[in-house]
Amino acid sequence: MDLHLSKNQFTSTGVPGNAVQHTAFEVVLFIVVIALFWWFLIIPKQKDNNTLEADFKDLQGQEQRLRDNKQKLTAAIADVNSHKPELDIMDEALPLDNRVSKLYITLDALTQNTGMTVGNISIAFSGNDPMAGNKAALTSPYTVKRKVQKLTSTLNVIGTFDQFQTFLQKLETSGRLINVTSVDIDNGTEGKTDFNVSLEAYIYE
Amino acid sequence: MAQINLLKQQKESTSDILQTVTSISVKVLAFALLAVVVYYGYLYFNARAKTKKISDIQATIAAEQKDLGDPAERSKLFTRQQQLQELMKLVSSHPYWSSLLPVLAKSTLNSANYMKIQALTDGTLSLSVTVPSNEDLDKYLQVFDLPQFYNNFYDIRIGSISKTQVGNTLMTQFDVTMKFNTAILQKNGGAK
Repeated sequence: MDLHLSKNQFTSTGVPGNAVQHTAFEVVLFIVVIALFWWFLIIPKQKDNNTLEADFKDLQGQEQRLRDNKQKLTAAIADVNSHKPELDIMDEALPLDNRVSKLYITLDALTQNTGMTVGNISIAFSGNDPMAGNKAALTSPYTVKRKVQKLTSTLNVIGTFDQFQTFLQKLETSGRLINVTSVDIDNGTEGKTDFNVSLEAYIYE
Repeated sequence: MAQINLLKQQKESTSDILQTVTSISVKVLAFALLAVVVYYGYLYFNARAKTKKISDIQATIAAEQKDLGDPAERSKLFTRQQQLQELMKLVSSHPYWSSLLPVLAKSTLNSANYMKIQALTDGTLSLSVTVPSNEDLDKYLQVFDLPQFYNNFYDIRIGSISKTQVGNTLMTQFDVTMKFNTAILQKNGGAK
């Protein structure tokens, strides 16, 4: 009876025990496979995706900025082209050419308008560029490299203090930007005074 | 006998539970594996789609950069902007010399005459002055000790002093160097 019992015991628990072991092994195998899959495939892919997402957002930002800047550029170009009178004023104050004759005419006119007598006007310019017939500047005036350059001038005029005061005021309000760098006054004996003025005018050439 | 039968039933029940649990675990894990594979597929296709979008947007940016309008107009704009900037700089430092002579006249003794005036933008003033007497020379100098005057003209130094004939009068002539406040040359006269 005891023997029969133990036989029964073996037959009833032996086969399901193997099945449990088998499925337990499957469980472990699944866990290992999932873990390996996650570690070696999912995590790197997730990182790739995150990098791509960041790159995409960055490029979207770049594209938007580029569009904005392009719009601003277009608006600025239109703005410049619609302000011709202001550009003319700017060109008078700071000309784009080095023609010294313009400054000479301006100074002569200013002294004549104040009733003073012009003793001498001299203008010096040390630039190398031609003053006329500059093909490069004439064909494409805005592509040449430019910088501010000085035209220095000395002016000798004869008149009274009041005339000279008016002359200085006219220089200050002149359309051409002219800076006085020194004033030398020699008071004559016959009511007429010699005024020597050193000046600087500028060009953007 | 009854106890032996009970033990057998109990062992069978435990084994069944264990088998059921492991069986369910296997199914759950199989489903989890399937889900992971599907998720991987999602990530893979998502990365491909993003890569395509990135190359599209890069092409768009390259096209936009090429098409930035007329280069001549851009050069003109750039030149004009630079010209305006330079002009603003020059205008901001533009000296207004017409303010100097009236301020100097106000600071000068009435009996004094200037024979020569030389002024530089650095604030140096050299003068040749005539006054009727030596006492007037002293008075001329005293003026510049007053605060309302030494704010504009200071560091007065006398050079040579001599007597000179002006018309029929013998006058005292002297050379003066002094500094003037360069703020006078700023717009609206600065420190008057």
